[in-house]
Amino acid sequence: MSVTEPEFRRALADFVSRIDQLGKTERWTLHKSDIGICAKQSVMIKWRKEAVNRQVHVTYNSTYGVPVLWFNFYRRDGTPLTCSEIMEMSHNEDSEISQYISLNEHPILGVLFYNIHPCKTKDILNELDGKGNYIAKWLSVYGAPIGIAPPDALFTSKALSQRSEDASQSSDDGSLSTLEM
Amino acid sequence: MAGEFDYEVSRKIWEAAVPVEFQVERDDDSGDACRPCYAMLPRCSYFSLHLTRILEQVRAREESVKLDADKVWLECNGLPLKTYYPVGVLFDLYKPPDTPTITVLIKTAPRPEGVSLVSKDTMESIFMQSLKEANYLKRRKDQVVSTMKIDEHKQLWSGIVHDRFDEFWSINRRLMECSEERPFHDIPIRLYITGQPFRQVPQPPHDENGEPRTLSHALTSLSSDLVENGKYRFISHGITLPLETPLTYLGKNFAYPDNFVHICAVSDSSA
Repeated sequence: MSVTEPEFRRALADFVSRIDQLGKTERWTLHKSDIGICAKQSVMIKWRKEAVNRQVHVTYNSTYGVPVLWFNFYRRDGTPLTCSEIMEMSHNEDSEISQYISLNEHPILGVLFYNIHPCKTKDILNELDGKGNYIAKWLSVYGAPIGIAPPDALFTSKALSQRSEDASQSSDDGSLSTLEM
Repeated sequence: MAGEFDYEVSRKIWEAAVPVEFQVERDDDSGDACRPCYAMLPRCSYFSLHLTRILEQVRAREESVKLDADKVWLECNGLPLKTYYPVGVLFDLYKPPDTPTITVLIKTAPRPEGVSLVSKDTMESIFMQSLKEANYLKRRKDQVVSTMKIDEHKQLWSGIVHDRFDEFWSINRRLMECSEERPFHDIPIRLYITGQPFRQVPQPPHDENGEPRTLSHALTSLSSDLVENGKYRFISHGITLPLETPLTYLGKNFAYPDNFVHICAVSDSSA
């Protein structure tokens, strides 16, 4: 399924707002400009025993009518992970969409960022069922290669009542886990 | 004629090359300037495909200069050069009105934040993403690129790397097929203004009345003030495009190899 840009904006604002209400989870911030709307998240994660900063942006692609995930990883000294490191990290997740990762120009920043090309998004989302926020559903697939999983609460309509349960979330498996700051 | 494919135009566009002056910015303060190095680069190509050869050329003349393709970066007019844009786009954006060349500095100082190395492999990935997107715009459901074999993708890229028109166009011809019965759904167009990310929105070739849309319509849909005050010229492949040019003509004849029509808005006061 594709969405119009106004639908995307509403879903994105709702996504950011509901994440914020949950508390105790990685926050996203909403950024609006003449060029478009964008949700951003910046967190420290552990990768190969090293703390790296994962920067993620969600933008709208008007060609395909779907969201696009943009990301970069930086070491503490500010240097970005190399292309081969990114590929190694994302292919650990055994996701078939990892093959669509490439650098390209970020539509708002105008610099190179990694993205997962949106050419398959519409087909993949058509196969997803279930209710819940559109961005959260999309992110459950497209965030997987880089270790992003939207909170389960976003897939139900009882976001607020889920708060206490999410506070006791079990720790992550695998090589990507959030560092307590 | 508005929608016709013109072989001569495509051939000339492929063969067009631009003169680039390369200077090495030394990080020592010796005061000795390296002599500039000149190269004619194909407009439809990419800097990363030529950088190794350029650096060899510089090293052949200045043996004291240490240049590592993995560590240098390029700058033009005080801005990091977006080497993932086609050469012709960068030339049209940056060429001063009073000189035939653009001057590119080869920088050896540490790269600024946000400036990425664009290797040949990265350039190929970026190219293929753009090509897929352009053809999705043109065909929507009918995805020609997706049904291509892997070796056909490779042949497109190989044609660019080795500057082989026939190799490239034997595949690209299929991507450019359109007719009155089977028109392009949207024309792939990207607009460039210095210092900004490129802008792109879907551009149908006809309006709701079935009349051909022109460059003027496309530009107005991107930004309402682009056309109205005559502040800009709109250049593609070094040619100032008439605002009444039909979009279908541009899509068939003025596309770069990634199948996008890349148009540069250049301030007219500098003309």
